[in-house]
Amino acid sequence: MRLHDRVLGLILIGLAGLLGFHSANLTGPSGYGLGPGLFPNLIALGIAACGLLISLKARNKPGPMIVVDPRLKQGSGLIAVSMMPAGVIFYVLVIDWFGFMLTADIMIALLSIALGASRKASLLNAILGSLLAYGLFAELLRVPLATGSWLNYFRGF
Amino acid sequence: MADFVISEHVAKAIILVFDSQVLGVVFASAIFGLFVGAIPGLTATMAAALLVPMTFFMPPLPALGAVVAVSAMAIFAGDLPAAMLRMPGTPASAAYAEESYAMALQGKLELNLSTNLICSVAGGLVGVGFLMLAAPLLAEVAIHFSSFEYFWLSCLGVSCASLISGKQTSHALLSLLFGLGFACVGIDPVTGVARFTVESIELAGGIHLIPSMIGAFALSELMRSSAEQGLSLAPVQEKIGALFSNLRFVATTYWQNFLRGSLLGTAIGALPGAGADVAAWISYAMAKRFSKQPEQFGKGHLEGIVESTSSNNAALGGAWIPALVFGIPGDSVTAIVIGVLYMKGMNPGPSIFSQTPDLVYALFIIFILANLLMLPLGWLAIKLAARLFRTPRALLLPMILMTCVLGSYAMTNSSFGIVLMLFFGILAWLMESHDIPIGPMMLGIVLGGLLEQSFMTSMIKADGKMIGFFERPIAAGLSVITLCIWSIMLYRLLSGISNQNARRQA
Repeated sequence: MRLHDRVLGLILIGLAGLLGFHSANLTGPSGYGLGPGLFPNLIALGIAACGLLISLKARNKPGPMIVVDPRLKQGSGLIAVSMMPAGVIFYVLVIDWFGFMLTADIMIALLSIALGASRKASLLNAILGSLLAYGLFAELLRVPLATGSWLNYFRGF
Repeated sequence: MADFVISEHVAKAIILVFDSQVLGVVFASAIFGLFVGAIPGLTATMAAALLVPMTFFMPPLPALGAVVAVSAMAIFAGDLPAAMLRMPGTPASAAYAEESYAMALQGKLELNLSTNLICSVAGGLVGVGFLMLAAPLLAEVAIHFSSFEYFWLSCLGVSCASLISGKQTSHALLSLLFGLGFACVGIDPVTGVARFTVESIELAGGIHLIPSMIGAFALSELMRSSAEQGLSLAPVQEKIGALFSNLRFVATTYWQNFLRGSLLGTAIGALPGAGADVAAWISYAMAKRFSKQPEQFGKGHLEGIVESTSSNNAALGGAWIPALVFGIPGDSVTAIVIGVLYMKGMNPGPSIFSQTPDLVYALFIIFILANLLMLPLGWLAIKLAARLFRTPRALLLPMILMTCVLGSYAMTNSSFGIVLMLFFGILAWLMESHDIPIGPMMLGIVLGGLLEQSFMTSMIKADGKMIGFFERPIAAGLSVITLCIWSIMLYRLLSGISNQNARRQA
């Protein structure tokens, strides 16, 4: 997806305004001539100038305001691009409940299937991949990976 | 006496390097680098970013050695799919991918790949040679630098990045400003006021460099790669014959191209913000400019390949010069290296040469070792290249994503790192869709703190008078160079608008 430079420039000017507004509210301890908002304010000015330049350069450029990549217009293209962020969001949302092994298995298997691998190969990839990642990060590098709160239900028995 | 001290440091460095753990890490990283570099769409920067979480748990030397080995190997390995598939493995091989593929179609694949391998090794060694010579000398000058010089150096670094990024100046400048803006998040170093933290404790510590790099360089690549699943990876030739048979001819015919490429590559690498890819493009253009047969370029001619493949590997060593001496990254890989150095308590800057000289010399030795290791491992990679390309991406990409997630988590020990990675991944993907380069943004995040702090400290020292920034001789010299670059940038920005006007009137 690509916005026309005129739209992009306007969005950038808006963003710079927002940054400038927040920076103006940043006040340091009294007696400091150079406040904490000085640098962000300069950056906001720079972004606004870039936005204006991009808009000006594109003011006579023809074309639609939003161009969607033909691959994204097909459902499969959109799914392909969004599946990686979706995988990360899924991981963050369920990791505490499911624990690392189960979350990683589901995530790798679903992504492999979505990318076109066979179900059998995806399942094998998920099991081997999660075991390898667990061995490397949890066992070798001692990164504390979540065990999953669903296991607590069984601990009472 | 000085010679004796240096040889003592070198002796200690050799002992440090020839340790089984260090050698094992360098060897494993080299293989990882070859693998990642040979897969089209996965870059050397991505390989380095993926390695960083592992280096968190290592002593400083193997950690830095891993990044050196992985980047050197990945840059060479990018030449393999460029020649066999016409798909550069990394952006550094893009400049001569067409030329290499044309050679392969003419049945000269073996000559092409062996030339790429030998020139990459030799070019890499030239870059390291300059790093070893120039870095300690520059450090002796830089030890006397004050906040004024560091302010101008930071300005020079960020300005060069915008000027040489290869994209439109306004877009590169915008990317840089984004990076500087992100660097403002957290506690202000001078006044102690929290900025843009939205009352989040995690954000009070600032934007964590490593998860943001993993997101910008790795997740965004994964998003792009997953959309390109339909591409077939059928190499032009399955079996590779004898290598190195025509090297005498290459050495005697193209030695000047090799020398020019290596020297230019080192110099471009040393410029902040310009890396191996820019070096390769400029060297290819230079080879064509000075060639006696410019009409042969693009038809499978070796001249441009020799020059640019030497150049991109030489740029790696060159990029470490400003990174080690001033803490200013020469390219995106050294931006990651600076993060690793801070993580290991080895603050980059001239004092690194006096505080940890053994480690610095050990690093130089690893550089040489990694380049020499490229010969046997590169030979093996060439022989196995056709099989490497058949690695199913549908199985590989989810595994890489898992590594990104765990790597970002390991840096913060919370989901915050993963969220940060996700944010920067999507942002980088959107930016690249709009032709906004991501390199300057990452440089802005790395240098933002130094730039602001040196500016504020200098203003306080100079009692708010700007003249203080020009009074010291080196600061004045640096300011002249920086102001010249700013003038060129302003000219380019304004000429962009006037060109548009002229086109409209026509």
